[in-house]
Amino acid sequence: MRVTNALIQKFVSTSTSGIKEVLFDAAKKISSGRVIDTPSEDPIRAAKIVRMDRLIKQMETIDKSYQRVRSDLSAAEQGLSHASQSLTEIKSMAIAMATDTVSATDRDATAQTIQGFLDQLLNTANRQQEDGRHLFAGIAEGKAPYSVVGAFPATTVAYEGSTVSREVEVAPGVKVDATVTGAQSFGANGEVFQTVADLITALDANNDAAIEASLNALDTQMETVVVNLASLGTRIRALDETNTITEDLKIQYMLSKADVEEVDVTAEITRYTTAETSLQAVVEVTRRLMSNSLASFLR
Amino acid sequence: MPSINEILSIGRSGLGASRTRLAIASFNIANANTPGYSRQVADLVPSATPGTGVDALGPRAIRNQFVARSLATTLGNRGFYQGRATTLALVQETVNDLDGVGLVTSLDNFQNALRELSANPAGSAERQQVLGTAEQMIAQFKAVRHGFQEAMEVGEGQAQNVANQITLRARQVAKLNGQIQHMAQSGESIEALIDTRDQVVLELSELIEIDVIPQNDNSVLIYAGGGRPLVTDTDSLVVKVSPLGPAPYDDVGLDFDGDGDPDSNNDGIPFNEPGDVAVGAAPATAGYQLTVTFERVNEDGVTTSALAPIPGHDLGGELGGLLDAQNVTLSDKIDTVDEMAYRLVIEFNKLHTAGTDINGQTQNLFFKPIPDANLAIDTDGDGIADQPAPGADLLNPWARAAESLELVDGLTFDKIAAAQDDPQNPALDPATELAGDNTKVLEMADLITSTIVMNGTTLQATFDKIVQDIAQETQAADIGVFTEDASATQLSNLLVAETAVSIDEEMIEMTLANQAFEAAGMIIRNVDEMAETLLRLVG
Repeated sequence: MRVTNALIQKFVSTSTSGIKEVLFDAAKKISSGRVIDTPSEDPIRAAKIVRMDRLIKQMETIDKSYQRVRSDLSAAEQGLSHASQSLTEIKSMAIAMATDTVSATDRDATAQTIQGFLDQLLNTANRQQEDGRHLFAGIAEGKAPYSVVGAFPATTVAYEGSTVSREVEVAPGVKVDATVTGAQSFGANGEVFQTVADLITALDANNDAAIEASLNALDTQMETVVVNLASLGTRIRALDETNTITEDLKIQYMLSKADVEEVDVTAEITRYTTAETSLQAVVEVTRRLMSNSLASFLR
Repeated sequence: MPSINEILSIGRSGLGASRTRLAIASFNIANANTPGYSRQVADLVPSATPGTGVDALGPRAIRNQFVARSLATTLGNRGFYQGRATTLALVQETVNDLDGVGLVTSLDNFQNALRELSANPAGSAERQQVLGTAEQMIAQFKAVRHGFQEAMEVGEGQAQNVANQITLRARQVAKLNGQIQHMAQSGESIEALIDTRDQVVLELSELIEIDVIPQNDNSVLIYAGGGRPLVTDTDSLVVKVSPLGPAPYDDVGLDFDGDGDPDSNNDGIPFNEPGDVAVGAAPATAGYQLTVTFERVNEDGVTTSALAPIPGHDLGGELGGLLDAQNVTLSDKIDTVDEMAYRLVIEFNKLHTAGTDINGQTQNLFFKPIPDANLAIDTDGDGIADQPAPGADLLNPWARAAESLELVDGLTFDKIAAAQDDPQNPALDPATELAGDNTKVLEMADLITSTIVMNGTTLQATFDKIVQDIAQETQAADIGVFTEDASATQLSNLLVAETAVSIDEEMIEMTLANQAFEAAGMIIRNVDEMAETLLRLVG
């Protein structure tokens, strides 16, 4: 093959530009940390990155919903637990007042004390979260679910919340009842509070039979609260278990994304160094090639 | 037996031949780095009359038409892929979601905002987020459409640019044909002009696929666009690019309100009165294509005749690549984006109007309705077009929909209809329960990934396909450029190996010519001595 001046020019130009392309590409990947910047560099990889990104964001949204529902259910559980403790206290006092030896004055004083506990119970039932939503109102979260009619010692408690629940997705494809209603906590018509209110009325009226009846009803309502508390606990545990699915999936997606998106920096640095060495070699070869000519010898 | 004069003649022919060789070698060395220069050689042959010396014929240029033709074809292929790659690279930036910003990302964000709202339907922050992500999604729809639109505008401009370059080069070839014919007739060397013309032809072949037909008088005819004449002897045609049909970004020139000025299809200008009729030319075709014509143009720039429009697939070269990207790849993508916007508005509004906001209001729109692009006449006087313009070819109803995508006026976060509007099942207390219901917002969130919107596929899948198509076609174009470039380099190397100047060779040639010159000079010196001897003998 004839080696002409034009051929040497082309060789030098092609070799150096080819190596510089490799250098530029490696430098770009090292600085960005990503294998590809545009979809055309690897369409399949690009599609996978976008898909993983979408799934990760979806898991993050689902996780936010889970956190919110968990927070609500936990607060409700705490409330019910306090309510249970309060009812236990009320029962002790009621038992003490159920004997013949207690005076009307003592019963009156106890009625006032139990009224305090009832106020606390109602406060718990009408409790709001940080954003102002009422916890035990079902989906009627904007309004306090329990209202009191009348004054001490004769009060009536009415439930004005909702019996309707709201479903929220807390794991991929898993929707749960995200709200707590008064019925799920304190009886279908607020029987827990009404029983305590009836006890107060009975103590204030010094009515032995009514006190006895209220004590029996109180036992039933305490059991209602305990059962509802246990049910809430079960819901929270089930929620936590589904969240592990979300967490696991999120990690899997993040690993998959990193696998296809992130560059192997070590490999790219090696590629860069190799290309740099090649460029130096080409430059030296070019220098020698262009300096050797018959013109140097023929005079 | 040759006489002394004849021997002198022989010596003189030797001197002349060596001088010619030296001149040609010098010319070659001087042009060693001239692009496209083909080295020249002198052909030494014994003189026509036997025994009378040597004749130096030439100069003759060393060319390889076979390799040159292969190179031209390869450059044409590279130009085609380059044309496609140039346009598609512009578009790819518009649809690139890899940096976390883009239409698909904004669709996902909108859906996720709806999901977050479903967990707290009365939450003002969540409602505000829905509005915010909806605005971002609208902005992305417009950005994508604008990106496609700009790529098409730029592509059209570039195609015209390339067409102008083709015209210029065709003109150069025609002019060189004339010069070559003239110089050949007057016996002058035409090799340099042929080299120049070959170089121009190579440049032309990268712009458009051509067939070069050499003629006996050293001129060439050039055909392009599937056998259509481009250069005929000393004449050439002008190449023009024109759109056929309204571009997706063009106003169609209809006047809807009768004020004498053309309005655009979806500018929302109300009709003045019932029966307002569109005035002006209806669009000739619902499709948009760039076409190329070869035209004969007189000195005043007026077209005197034109060949029929040439389909893009007959063109080849960079011009063919640009047209292919526009006509085949881009115009249906922009149409798909419009369809996505149009159908999203219809289906989303259907759900939203059936829902209830926290004020208990229903029948609220979320997006501003996008009218069917074909509707141009208001027959019932309500200010809204309800019939197509007479005689107009129908566009897709979603033409330019992505441009018109907007939230409905006055939409505030409390008007987002997250709740169901079905008092029978179950009956919700509007005062207390509606605000906490999330039935409708769950349906709206599911709609974004439902196949209802795009008749069997989802919005994300539809756009994912657009991105994939563009990515794959860009990749194919890049690979095409790379492959053809490699082939072109190989062929170019073959060509320069054969036709370019090697200074070393020319140095040897100069040295040999010098020696031959000295030797021929010695013949003359010896003949001169012989003549003197003869004269002394007879004198």
